[in-house]
Amino acid sequence: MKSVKDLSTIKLDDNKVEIEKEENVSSADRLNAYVKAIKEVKKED
Amino acid sequence: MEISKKDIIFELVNTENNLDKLQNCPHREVGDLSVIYKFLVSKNDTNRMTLPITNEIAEKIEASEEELFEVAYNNTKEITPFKILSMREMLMGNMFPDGISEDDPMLDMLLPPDDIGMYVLSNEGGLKGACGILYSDLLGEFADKFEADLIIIPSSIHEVIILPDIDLFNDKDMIRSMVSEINEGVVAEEDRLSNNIYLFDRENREIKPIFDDVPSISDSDSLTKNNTI
Repeated sequence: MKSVKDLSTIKLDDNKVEIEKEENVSSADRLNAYVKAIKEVKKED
Repeated sequence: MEISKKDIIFELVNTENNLDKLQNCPHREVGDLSVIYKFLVSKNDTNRMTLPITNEIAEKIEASEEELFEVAYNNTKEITPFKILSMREMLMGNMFPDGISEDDPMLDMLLPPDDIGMYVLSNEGGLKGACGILYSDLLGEFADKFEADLIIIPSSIHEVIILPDIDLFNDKDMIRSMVSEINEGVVAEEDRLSNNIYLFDRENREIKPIFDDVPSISDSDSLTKNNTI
């Protein structure tokens, strides 16, 4: 039995697989929210 | 379609939020998170195409979860190299993708100072980069630089925030509230990774949950032990 380590290429039926598109999104909003929150924590100390 | 084993990568998702998906694919639980596997079909600067590895596909390629982890562990760091940037550098790249002069007064108005003590671990492209926490050497080198343990905030599936100042948070309930509020208010549901916070133990090169009611990443599979980047 071949394991994944032995396979150079793997053939899959195009009609039976679902490709997903993953798009880059900006992380600015959530990172800025953490910056604001951490600054508040530091201020309280 | 022809896919190579060199295209197998992994990413981290929240276990509880992905129970349906996890039923149908090989995965590894680490704390309240799970490692899942994909084939990277193509990628460019703005997006990538992937094929999730389901139980059916894993069976077809005769791959155990352990094999997938080993292959993906080596591939992911090569295909999408990880980086740790200061919060200022990270936000600069996000808010000014076309670049901006270092002297521009906008920078100090909009960005935190470099000495705020916040860092971001992600990968090139900033897509599904939170899995960088699975590489203990990467975190270990960073912790050594500061000679400190690290607080890890799983801000999203794309990146985590690292704080080398573990004394920053004495009030654990306050931390949990802060993370929950930001997750619910700012982070898209599909991008949420966890409401919990982890501590990277510099001496033992292990990640532990800060809250007692969260399963330990290290106890799950010793993922962060003996894996080198």
